[in-house]
Amino acid sequence: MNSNEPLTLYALNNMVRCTLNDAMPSRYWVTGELSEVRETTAGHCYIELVQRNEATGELVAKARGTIWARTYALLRPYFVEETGQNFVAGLKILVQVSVDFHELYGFALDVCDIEPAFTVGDMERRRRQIIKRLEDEGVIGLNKELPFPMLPQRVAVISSPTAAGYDDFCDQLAANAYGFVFYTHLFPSPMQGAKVEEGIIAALGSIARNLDLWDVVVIIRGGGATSDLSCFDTYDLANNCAQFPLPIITGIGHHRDDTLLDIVAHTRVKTPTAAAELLVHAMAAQAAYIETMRRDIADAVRNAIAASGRHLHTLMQRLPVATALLMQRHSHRLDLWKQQVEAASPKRILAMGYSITTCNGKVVRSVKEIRQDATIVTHLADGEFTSRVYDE
Amino acid sequence: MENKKELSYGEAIAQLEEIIVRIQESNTDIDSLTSLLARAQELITFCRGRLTEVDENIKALLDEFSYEAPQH
Repeated sequence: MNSNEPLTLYALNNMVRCTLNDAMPSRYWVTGELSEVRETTAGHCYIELVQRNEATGELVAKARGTIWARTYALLRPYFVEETGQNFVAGLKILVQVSVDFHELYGFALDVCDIEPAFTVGDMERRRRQIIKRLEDEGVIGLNKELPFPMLPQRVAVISSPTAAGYDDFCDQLAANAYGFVFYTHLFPSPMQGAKVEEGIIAALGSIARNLDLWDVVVIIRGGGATSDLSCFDTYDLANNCAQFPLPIITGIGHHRDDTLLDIVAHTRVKTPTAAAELLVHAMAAQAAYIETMRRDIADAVRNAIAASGRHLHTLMQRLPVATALLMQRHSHRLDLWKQQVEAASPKRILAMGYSITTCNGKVVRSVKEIRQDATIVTHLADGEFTSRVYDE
Repeated sequence: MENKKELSYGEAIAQLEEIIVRIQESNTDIDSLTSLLARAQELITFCRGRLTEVDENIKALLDEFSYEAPQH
């Protein structure tokens, strides 16, 4: 070939293609961040893969990539199943590629396999970083520390109005077997995709404006199978929920490990139905407590009445004893008086040999009271005799 | 009755607990038993009502709130 003859562009590109094919014939495992994902109607997926400087975040490498429809139809469900995460921009991925150069379309990576574990690991690492940050800031347990309301009746619901889960929740509450009253109000927010964080934070803002109206916040999403939960794993969402002044219950319908939202929430349940049951149970516990107290009061009153009865009975038993004692005391006193009276009695003096003289029934105390011929009676201890006075 | 309206559920429960203790522990005389029992009955009715009866005040507040709530 004459080297002075200019090459056609095609020829040049073809040279690059052949050189590349010869020099890099293998497949290579490569890590990168998905910066763009575009699915075509034909089922192909075009991606852009980048690498950033870890410290500054500036791009240091970039490559286009293609996942052909036949491969993508297998890889995408596999990736979603393994990671619990849609194949979207922002993810770190590990893919097996062959390096391709096309005369017209240029340089591109042909993706033939993917390792979801790498993405899981990266997501987990990011999650742990966020958890650590929330811990360091001292907010991670704040919502859990809030006292759960005695009666969680006024329920601010954050959900998507179209989601089946919201209806399940409302039906479950309305149809509770006890006839408990609940007041619910929906604060709509998207429950999947990139708008989740913004939507839930805005809804929390609306609730916070009338905090006194609500007892509890419930964040629910129906349909267990949906996979993309990374939207519930962001710092701002977790931080807002952790610091929210009302207890938050989550029921976002999934089965893998807790999302960050679940971790910071006051109480986490699996489904909207379970969230409703939780509220009904809390009310039922109060109803049971009231019933217990009603019984306790009845028992206490019965006991108090019985105690009064026993007291009365004791009094009645003590009465005859007390009466007898009293009588005895009086009797003793009488005996004493009798002795004293007896000690002072004239009979005792008469017995000593003294006598008493009466005249006309009156005691004679002086000889001047006696006239001649008077009849006097002399009283002695053992009787009396009558005499006539013959000499004055 | 007016001040019963202002009573919160938590306060009512606390009053009930106090009444139980008073009946159980002190030498409450029979005369005050009657009034304690009447009060307890009132409180129980109030608490039960809070669980199962629609509070029109709350409803009205929420309706008003819903009306003002921004549409997303």
